[in-house]
Amino acid sequence: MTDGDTPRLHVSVNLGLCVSSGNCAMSAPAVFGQEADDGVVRLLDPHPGRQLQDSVELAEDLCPVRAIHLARS
Amino acid sequence: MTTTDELLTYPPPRDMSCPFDPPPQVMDIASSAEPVRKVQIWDGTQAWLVTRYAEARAVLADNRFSADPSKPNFPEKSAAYKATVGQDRNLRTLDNPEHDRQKRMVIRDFTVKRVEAIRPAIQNTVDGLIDGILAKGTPADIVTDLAFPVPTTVICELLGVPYADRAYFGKRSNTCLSREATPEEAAKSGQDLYEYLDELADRKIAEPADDMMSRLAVEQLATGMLTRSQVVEMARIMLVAGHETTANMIALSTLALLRHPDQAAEIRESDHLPFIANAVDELLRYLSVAHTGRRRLALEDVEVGGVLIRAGEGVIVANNVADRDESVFDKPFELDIHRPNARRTVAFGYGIHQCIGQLLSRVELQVVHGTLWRRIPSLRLAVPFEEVRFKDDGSVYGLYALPATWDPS
Repeated sequence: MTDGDTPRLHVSVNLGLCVSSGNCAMSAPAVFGQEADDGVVRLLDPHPGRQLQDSVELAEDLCPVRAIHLARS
Repeated sequence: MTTTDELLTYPPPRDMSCPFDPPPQVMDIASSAEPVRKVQIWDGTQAWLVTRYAEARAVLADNRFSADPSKPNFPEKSAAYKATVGQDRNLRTLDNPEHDRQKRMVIRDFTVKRVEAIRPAIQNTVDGLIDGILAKGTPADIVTDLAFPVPTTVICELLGVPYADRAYFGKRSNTCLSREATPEEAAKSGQDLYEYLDELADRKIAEPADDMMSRLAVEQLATGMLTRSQVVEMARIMLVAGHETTANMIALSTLALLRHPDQAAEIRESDHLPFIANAVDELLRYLSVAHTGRRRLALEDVEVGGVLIRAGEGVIVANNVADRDESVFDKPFELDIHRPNARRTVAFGYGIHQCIGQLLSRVELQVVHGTLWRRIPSLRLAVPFEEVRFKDDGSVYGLYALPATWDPS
């Protein structure tokens, strides 16, 4: 398998649930940011590479309102 | 069938021969076949105690459990709590949608970027305090010379409360959180704090500065988004929660590392921030200073861990015990700063009420431990360990004093 066809992760966030805890931005800063005024999650990269799987899984696990979903296909 | 006189009165005392561990009677419940079990609290009422990690998180993330202590049968922490902070309508006690509405008014001061932006200021504060400790000479009391001044300085700066008033609000804040205080004493302290912050709000309206209270006054009060009492209650929870918890955590974590000198040495020799951050997360998990449980009231019938909790029944989530759940944390009774999943601690809670200041608290602890052990490498207890007095009478676990000494350089 080459880099070009390495399957990527599929991440989604539920903005309606987000309580701006910042856990995701701390766990996977390349994937999740925070809006400056209200701290709500900003999904910077919905399809990060597999090398970020552990940190995205941690962000998903730590989100206190379960607003992050990582598709496992 | 369990009868009332068999119910554990929660929280029971710790076993002070293992002062870092939760009470053994509660650990027994957690490892039993009935980890969700009824207990009795100070006022004679009953509530469900939740002791394991998965159920703890499930309850805290579930909107069918309310954090509103004004609801009948809410399992409040103490008579003093009920008379003071339990009366507040603020981020700690509001359910949604109001909780999220108010949280968004203040969250920008707690984002990852904002907290990282003040890390240098926190470093300056810690450097200055340690300079002072070294200049004054041995022995030092880490509680009064370092643990309280760090978070107090930070929250004063953030809120816009004069640091010079720290003795005034510190004493009253402590009384509000004490289980020993009478309801009258606690109510008086709470009222004093309210009046102090109410008066401060006037000054912020007249002369707004770059701080949270000024922004609340200008952006929310003046526009009718918050009432006067909502502004003051927000300021009061920020002030009380912002300094007591982190202060006790700094003191207790310093003692824990003095008892684990090999791990203190690893922290001293590291300048790798992710390693220090992991060590702090592990200290948070191991010590879990908010140790009297997160309190909730069921709004509907909900099954938790095979037990049906009925609408109107109280629930106590023992997050400090959940952080010792061996199905999540390997060898949970050991302090291990290399623990790979220390970050999963529920010391700050979970769900919408997870501590708003968790990132700030973490950075304060990272700066303290990233600095203290390097600056004072021979730091050690100045009294026998058995003489250290643990503060077990409030809703935040900690130390009354931490006398420390070191070799002159």
